[in-house]
Amino acid sequence: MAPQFTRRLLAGATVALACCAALAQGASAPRPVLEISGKVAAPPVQLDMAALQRLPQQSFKTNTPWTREPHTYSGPLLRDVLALAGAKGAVTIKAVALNDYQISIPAEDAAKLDVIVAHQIDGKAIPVRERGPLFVIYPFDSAPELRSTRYYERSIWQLKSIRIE
Amino acid sequence: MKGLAGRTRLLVFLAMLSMLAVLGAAVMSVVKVREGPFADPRQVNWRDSVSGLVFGFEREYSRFRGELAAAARGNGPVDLRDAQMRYEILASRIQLLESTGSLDPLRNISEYLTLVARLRELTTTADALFAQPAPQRAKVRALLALTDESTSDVQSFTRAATVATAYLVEQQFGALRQQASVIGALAALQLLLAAAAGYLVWTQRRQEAAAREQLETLADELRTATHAADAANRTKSQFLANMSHELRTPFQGVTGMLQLLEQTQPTAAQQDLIRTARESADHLLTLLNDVLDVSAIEAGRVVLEEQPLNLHRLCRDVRQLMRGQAFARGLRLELAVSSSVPKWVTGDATRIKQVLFNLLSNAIKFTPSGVITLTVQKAHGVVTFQVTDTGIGMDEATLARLFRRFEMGDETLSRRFGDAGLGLEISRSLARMMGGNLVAQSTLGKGSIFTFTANLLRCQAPVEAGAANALAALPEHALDVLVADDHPINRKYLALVLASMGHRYVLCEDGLQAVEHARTGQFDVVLMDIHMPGLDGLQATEAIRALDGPAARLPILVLTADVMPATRERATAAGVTACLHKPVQGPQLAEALNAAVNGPDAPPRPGALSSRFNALSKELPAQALAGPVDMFFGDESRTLADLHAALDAGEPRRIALAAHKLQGSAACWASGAWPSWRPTSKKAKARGPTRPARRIRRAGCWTTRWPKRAPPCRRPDQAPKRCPREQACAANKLLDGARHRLVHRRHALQRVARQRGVVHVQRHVHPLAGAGAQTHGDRAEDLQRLHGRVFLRVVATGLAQVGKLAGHGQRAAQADHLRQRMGLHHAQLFGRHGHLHRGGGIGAGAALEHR
Repeated sequence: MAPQFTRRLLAGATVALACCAALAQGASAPRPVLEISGKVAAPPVQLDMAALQRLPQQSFKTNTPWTREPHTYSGPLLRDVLALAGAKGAVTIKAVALNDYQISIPAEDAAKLDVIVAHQIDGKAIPVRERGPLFVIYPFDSAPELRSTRYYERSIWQLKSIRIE
Repeated sequence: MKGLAGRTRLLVFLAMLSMLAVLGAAVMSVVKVREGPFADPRQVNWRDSVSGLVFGFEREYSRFRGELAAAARGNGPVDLRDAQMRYEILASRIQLLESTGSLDPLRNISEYLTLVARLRELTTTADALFAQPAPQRAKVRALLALTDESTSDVQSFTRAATVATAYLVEQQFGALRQQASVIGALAALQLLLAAAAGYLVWTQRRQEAAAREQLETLADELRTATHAADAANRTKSQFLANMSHELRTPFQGVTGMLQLLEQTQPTAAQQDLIRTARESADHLLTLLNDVLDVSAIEAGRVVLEEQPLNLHRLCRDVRQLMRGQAFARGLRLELAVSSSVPKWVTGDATRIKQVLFNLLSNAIKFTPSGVITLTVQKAHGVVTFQVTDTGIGMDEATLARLFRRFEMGDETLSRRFGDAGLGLEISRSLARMMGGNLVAQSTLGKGSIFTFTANLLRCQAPVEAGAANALAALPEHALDVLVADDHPINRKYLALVLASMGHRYVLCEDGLQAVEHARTGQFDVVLMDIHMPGLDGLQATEAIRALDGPAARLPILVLTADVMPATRERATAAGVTACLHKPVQGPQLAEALNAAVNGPDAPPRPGALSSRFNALSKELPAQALAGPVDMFFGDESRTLADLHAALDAGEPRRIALAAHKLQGSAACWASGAWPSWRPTSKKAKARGPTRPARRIRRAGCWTTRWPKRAPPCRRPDQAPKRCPREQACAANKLLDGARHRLVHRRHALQRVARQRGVVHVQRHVHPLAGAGAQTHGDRAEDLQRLHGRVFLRVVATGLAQVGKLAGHGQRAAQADHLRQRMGLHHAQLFGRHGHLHRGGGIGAGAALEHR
């Protein structure tokens, strides 16, 4: 019994590995840029850039502490992205960056403020070197209370994944 | 002084402290303004993120080095995908280092400059390496070596940045500490200021308390002094009151006896002496009254009456009374009352007269020749009386001293004219009490002008003023008077005065007797002295008020020399009807008796009139009535006709008015204002008809111009008796009758007089007629005059009752009764047979009155 079971397991693993390799190697397959896990319909949800671009796009010009001049940031609203992922009963959004920076964003920020998940700066895609490809941006210039550390630290760049809690 | 200097120093110190505080606050404001940018939250955030940026950079640097080291190991094809990702992330951190404003303060330190140079080299090499599609492992190793070389620079920068940040924070803390110390200093300054202010308030409070205490002590002293002064003043007033009492009792004796002395047919020389004595007594009385007035005014006890008064009449009266004095000194006294002066005003007639008398008598005194003018005007609600004379005048100094007490204008004048000098002061006080003033202007040798102003308000004429005055002036009919006085002179005086008025009296010596008499006797009024041994006047009054039956309601007049209001109050409380001041003068007493008996509170006296009428007609010689009665009914003013007309019309109000008018006329005749008439004198016969007879004849002639019977009224809707012609007819009839009967009655009167004889008349008449009759009893002429007057008094009283009945709202149905009564009176006067007395009509009249 035992040798037979072991054989079958090995065979399955080989097939799965082959599949994964095929997926990873597939040049035509779109590369996901954002993974959404937690309280979503079917976790984890993988979103590629095209999916984000298909959502209604918002665009605004604002200053940030990290640039000397104001820039125009474009991208879908955070709440639209969450809706697309099928997030339900979100209280806190835990966002993680490429450098493993983590921050909690209250879900009501997404609901009440026009927070966007920017993928373009001044009409161009944002490279990693420029804190891309995804950059959560609050409309800082629209309200003075937004220009505080609380909101600056929530404005996460090089966004990699989101966990809905 | 020391305290004051200390306070000044303290104030200066406080001012300096305040200046300092203001300066400090200003400095703080400037600092705040300059610190403004630091306070910007964004700036603070940038500073706060310095360490995050630096450490984030160092961490990424290490991770990149790790990945690169992993890629450099091994022998297979070089896979730089992970290393490239880490490199991209590191590149983003480098970019942040170079571009973020937060790091600006660090850009000048050598570690930063060294690091930036190193990183340039590194990125150039790395970019070239990652750009190659198939990089050689050796190149990767070279990059790793470069990276390792730079690690020390990265660590140095991190340390330097940490130190710099700490230094920055330290700086900020320093600024904060500085601010805190400034704020602390300012707070301390404010505390100091508050303490100083508190100290100031406290010292001020203490000073105020001290001042208040001083003031209270002073006020206490003042109060004590005032009380002492008040007490002294009260003592003085009491002394004056007592003195007035003590003075007036003997004084009454003096005046009374002088009056009696005048009636004893003295010789011319004696008469002169008596007159002088009376004048002296009068003057003394004036002085006494002045002194009492002053003390009463001073004590605030003078209360002005507010009664309607006829100002025009008042002025005429004053002039009439002063004219004699003026004339005696060869002066003219003129009166000019402006038309602007209202006829009726409210005020105190007695006091206004007092002031005017004072001013006019002064003017007369000090004017050797010329004119004295009393001008009366009204402007702005103030009545101005101006007394102008052409006398000796005064200089400035005299004028200045004029109103001061006990100071005459001129001391030599004082001796010459004799006066206490109180008159002007009293007058001025009275004027001020009337809301006006009294001022004087004068030119030496040219004369003086005294201006007396009073705030007298215009008022409506009293509705029945004429009637009321007539009533007041009504001479009393014979009354039964109970007199109680312990002083024999006073008793004698009062007895004489009452007798001269035709009243009956009973004398007694003290209160107990008075109460006993009041209980058992039948009196109309009681006259009582207050000060009596045993039961005094007030106690006796209380005892009488406590009696059973009508005696308890007897009008009681008390006599007192005490003018103090307290006495009056006690008297009122005891139930006294009125107070009379000693010495009592005849007219005053008459008025008071009249008011007491006819006043609204007087008890009804049914039948009194009729019984007296009956008695009178039995006793009187018919002759006695002829003169005054004829005069009365022969009056061409047609008052009687008016009364008849009113009776016919049955209008109570008109009846009352007419009755009052007629009564006034009767009173006038009765009071002796009629000319002498001597019915039996041969001289008189030789002179022809006397004046009243002439008047009647003239009236008769005049009336013959009218038809005997007036034609009926042209307007039937008009009340027939209101037609003047009808009235004239009534008057005609009356006058015709009077004239006709006059002739008859003269004979009858003469006959009766002869039959009865003078002596007989005298005996019977005595109780009614009084002293005058007694003294001159043998003079029939005077007796007759007297009897006539008494009779007319009775008529007047009857008329007054008619008026009262009508005035008291008796309906028109009563008119017949009234007319009947009037008719009966006529029957008494003009009996069918020309006889006056013993008529059955009188009895009927009495019966009617009882109804």
